[in-house]
Amino acid sequence: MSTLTTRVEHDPDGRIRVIVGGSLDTITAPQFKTALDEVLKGPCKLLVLDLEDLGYISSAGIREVLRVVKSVRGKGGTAAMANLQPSIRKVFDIVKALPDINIFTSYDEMDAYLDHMQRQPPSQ
Amino acid sequence: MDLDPHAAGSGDGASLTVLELTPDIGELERVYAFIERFRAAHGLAPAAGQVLMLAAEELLVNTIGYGNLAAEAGCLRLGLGRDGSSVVMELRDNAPAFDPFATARPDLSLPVDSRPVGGLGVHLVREMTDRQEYQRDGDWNVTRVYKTMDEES
Repeated sequence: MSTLTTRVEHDPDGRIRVIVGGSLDTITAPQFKTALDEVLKGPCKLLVLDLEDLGYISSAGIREVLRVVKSVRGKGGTAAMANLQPSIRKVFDIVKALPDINIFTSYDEMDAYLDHMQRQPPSQ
Repeated sequence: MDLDPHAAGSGDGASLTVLELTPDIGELERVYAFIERFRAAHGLAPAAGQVLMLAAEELLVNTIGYGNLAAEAGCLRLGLGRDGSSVVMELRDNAPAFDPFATARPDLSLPVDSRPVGGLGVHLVREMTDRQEYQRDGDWNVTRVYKTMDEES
């Protein structure tokens, strides 16, 4: 059974974490798009896709992730991914989608980056 | 039950277990289940199942999306079998002749922002499997991919 879970966490600084689990494929990509479109209606300084619980991704899923990255950048924000399983990372590596996206290997690394971002003056 | 005991033969003589499909994206659910049963029955690692699912999904999405297949029984068949240390996956469809592996490779040198959407699926199949074949057999497109497998134990 192909199922996708998304859980959205907003923090007061305008940072958004979306925890993605299950399968991001042709069947579930529309559900992912609906959930992320809703998230991206508002302002977004930083969006982190936390993929720790994602077990499978196909090109349909990659396309949706790249669409989200484009959308966040269109709003002047930053998009990042965290906690990719090796098999998921391999798929992103093959389509060479990674160099353009910030990747964090752990929550600690992500938090360090977020703290760093927090201290930056707003870029205008 | 969708496991066909009268397995069709592939060109390499490997005996295939065949799942008949209608040209509907919703059939991917049955495909995932079919692959998972095959994986478990052959003691293959979960990662191997993921590769097979990815190859099946990408090839089926292309065929169903662009093949203009009539929704008739038997127009689309997915077969799985062992071929020595490899698993062979064969997709047969009676759409007009189309070799998925003859398509141009996507330009991966472009940054993500300026890359056209699409064209990634077949590239993934090429990179994740060890060998790919296409032949036209009468009215049938026959697409095969091979993946060398490690036993789970």
